[in-house]
Amino acid sequence: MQNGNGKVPASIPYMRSVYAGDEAVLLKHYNPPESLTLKHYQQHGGYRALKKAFSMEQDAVIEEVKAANLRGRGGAGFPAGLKWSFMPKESDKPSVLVCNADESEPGTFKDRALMNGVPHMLLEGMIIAAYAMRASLSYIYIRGEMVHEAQCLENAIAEAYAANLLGKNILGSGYDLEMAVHRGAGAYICGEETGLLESLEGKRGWPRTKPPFPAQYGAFGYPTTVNNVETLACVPHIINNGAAWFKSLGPEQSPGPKLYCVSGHVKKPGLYEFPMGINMKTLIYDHCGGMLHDDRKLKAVIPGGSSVPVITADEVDVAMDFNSLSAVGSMLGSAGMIVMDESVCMVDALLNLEKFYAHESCGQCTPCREGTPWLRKILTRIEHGQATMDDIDLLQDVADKIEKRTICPLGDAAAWPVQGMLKKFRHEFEEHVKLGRCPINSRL
Amino acid sequence: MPFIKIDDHEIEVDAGRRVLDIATELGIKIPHYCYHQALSSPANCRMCLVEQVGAPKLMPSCATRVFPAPPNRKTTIDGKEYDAVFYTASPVVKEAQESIMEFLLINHPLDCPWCDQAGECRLQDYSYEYGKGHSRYKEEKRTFPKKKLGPNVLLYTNRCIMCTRCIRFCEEITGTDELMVSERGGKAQIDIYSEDKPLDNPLATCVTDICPVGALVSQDFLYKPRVWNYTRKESVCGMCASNCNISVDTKQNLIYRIKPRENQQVNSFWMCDNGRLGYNRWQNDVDRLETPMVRRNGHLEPVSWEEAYDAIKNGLKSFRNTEIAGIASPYSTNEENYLFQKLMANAFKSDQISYATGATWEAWEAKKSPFKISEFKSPNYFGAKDVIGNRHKGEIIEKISKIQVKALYWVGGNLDQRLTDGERDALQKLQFLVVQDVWLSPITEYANVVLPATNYYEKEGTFTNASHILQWVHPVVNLMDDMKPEWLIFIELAKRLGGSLGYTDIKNVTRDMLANTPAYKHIKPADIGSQGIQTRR
Repeated sequence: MQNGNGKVPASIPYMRSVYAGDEAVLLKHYNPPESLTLKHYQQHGGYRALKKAFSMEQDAVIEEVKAANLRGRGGAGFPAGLKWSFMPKESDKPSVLVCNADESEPGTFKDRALMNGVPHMLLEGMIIAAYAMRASLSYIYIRGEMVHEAQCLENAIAEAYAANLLGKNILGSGYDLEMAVHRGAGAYICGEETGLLESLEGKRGWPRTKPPFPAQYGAFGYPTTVNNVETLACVPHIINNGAAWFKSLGPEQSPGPKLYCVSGHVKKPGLYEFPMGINMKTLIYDHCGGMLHDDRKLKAVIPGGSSVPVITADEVDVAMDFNSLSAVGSMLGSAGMIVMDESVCMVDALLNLEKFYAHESCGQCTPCREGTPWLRKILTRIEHGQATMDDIDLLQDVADKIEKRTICPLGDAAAWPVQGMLKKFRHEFEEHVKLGRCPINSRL
Repeated sequence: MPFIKIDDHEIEVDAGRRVLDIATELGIKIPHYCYHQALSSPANCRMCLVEQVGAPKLMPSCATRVFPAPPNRKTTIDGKEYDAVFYTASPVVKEAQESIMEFLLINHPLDCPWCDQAGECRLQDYSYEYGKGHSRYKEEKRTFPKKKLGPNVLLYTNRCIMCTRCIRFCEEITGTDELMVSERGGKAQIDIYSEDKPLDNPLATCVTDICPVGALVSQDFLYKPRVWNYTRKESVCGMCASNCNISVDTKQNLIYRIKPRENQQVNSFWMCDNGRLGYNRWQNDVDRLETPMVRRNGHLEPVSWEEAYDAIKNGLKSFRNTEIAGIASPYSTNEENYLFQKLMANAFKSDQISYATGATWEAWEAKKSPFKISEFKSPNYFGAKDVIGNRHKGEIIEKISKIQVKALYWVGGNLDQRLTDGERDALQKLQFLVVQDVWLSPITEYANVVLPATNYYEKEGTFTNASHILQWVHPVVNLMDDMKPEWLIFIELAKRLGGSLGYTDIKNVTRDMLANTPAYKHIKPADIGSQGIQTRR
């Protein structure tokens, strides 16, 4: 199971815009290529948590993570400890841990930095999680386009095997774990956990109907838990510093360190680490340097990756955590913030998103397969001034009829931006119809 | 056992059952495309969505199974506790059905006027029942090319609703895996993996039966008359000893289509392409014998039935009983073989009777289901064995070679009849040969009298299949003017020869055949029913 050649590639396209202060947890020692190595990671306290976890009962590890209220960083915010507790304690089949590294939500680039900066943090989190769930197999399913990150992980795994951090009888604990990287072939749908499992099995990435849930019937029919990269990277810190410390970072309902991906019309776009619950306005104006063009005002923010409903400039005085964003009708999602100034046509922005969903719909179930291209076509007409007022209602209705009717959340992810835009910016859609053209793009 | 409520029905059901199956048994119709009883349920069409009280969204009834709910998760309606409560026709369900219909039709070509599925299409039926009659789609429809998936199956890709029944059939029944989805999203379409591996398994055309729309069509049933113009008759297939249950669509005494009919003990929902398409050979390729013939001056000449019967009577007069023998046919019904045996015994006073094996070639078994195509290409090999007894044709051929048997009555029926050199030598030594056959076969070359026989689409009686299940065979087409049912030939001939068998119709023959055949002694005609009866206890 040895992966990679243990060598770090010489020239690497590292992300230049990673902003992590001294109080950062996940990105504190982000300094590739040095920080890619096991040596560097261990110099900064790496794999101490693993040794500590091995001194604990498996269930005690799960309880610690539960007590820390670590909520899934993939977007849904499901409590990780609770998810782990669904795994069978006794099973005649091997249990499997899968790390979802298929980061492909537009606007999101947080997992990527963890993998190309501090891969051993992810590995340590995975080994602890796998130990707690009594898993003997683990996979990192990584987005196919992330060639360099896959190489970083392969190298880190090779180092870990060589140091007996993976394989048989890890650090003399009696615990065995195998780990492998599996590269996807470039489909957004394979980030959906059951689509991912199908793809991992070598099949077409068509999501499964749930129930049964992966903990009952997962990869190759084995009990499986799928966790996001950032979620797993939090685990060593919880074990090292305790649940109480973790809960002290940010709001109690969704605590912990958090990576925020800021893109769009700000002066300093990039990846920022702050505790959960940072104020969005502070983030944009203080940390990201404010709007890119001083003469243009903020118009809207998509706060959590392209799937979540948009919020207006008036609503940005909000804490970036799961509950606070739900309260303003949006979601934290992946914390992939897309900041748009007044030069952006909301219809055009939405059309761009819906092109993405129509392209990425897997085609398995009716509402999404037929509905997402339909949304794209209606939006194309509105953007080009070829629509009627009825078409705006039709757009809303088609989105409403996709939502909650599909096998997996891709249908919802395509519907929510439409619903959000129509709720907050309906007047722009009406303006397109009245003018018979796009008021912004046709002016340029 | 979970106690559940579906609409107004309260019922206790076995844990783990699908809501859709339970509803169907209660007489509640839930529309669905992708779900098929014999296949897995991917829940991709979303047509069977129902409302489950307490669930955050509508649930696919094909993939939702009922289990006992824990005490704190019961559903209470009007003070009564249930493990689950479902509504199949509430406003939100109807609205969902309407929207799914609209989604399915936005890209559908609506080419019903020339689609072969019209009249038995679920898109048509459900549009009428659950759709709203108009579409809000204004854009151009996406189009795909028509594809030939295999020798017998065409895919009109534009009509496809991507239910994937066909793919699952090839994966879960035949285990041959020819089909797949290519492309993604709105462009997703059914396809074969490569030209080198077409959809060419023995059951391939079954995908056209399970296709709920007009996407997969049988090459054999392309541009034929509309389906509502046919008379549908039920029988069993005679192309091999499996005896798959079939329904046959006919018009003006011609067969236009054969489809499998469900019989879980025999063929499940399936039949092979050989059986399905076999009628073409009878209707188009074979020069059928339609009148009796008598050899005069070395040539077979058409004669009346009376003349033929007289020729047999006169021809056999000079032989002793021990010099006359009969070969029965695995293509005949049990009744015909029973009467043939009686004819030999009563009229010719001969007990020298055996049966032929008929055509055989390789058997075929589906990899993922019990479906089997028998190696015996005659319908009633196993019945002939039961009725005639285990005596094979070889003995009689040997006696003919030794000139111990001088006159023979051979009932044929085999379109692939071949004679071995030994058999040819023997037949040449015969002094008198009566052949009852469906065509001018190699045997008729030696015949003194030829009587026209019937095929399995024309017969009435019973067949016994390779699993020893005895089933009714019904005529699906009428006989040509000059022909007679074979059971009647035996009755009339016996009478002419002065040894009446005492029958005037077929019903009593079945009764006596069952009573006098050791393997069938315990069976009454009424026991056979539409699904047949297992004869081995």
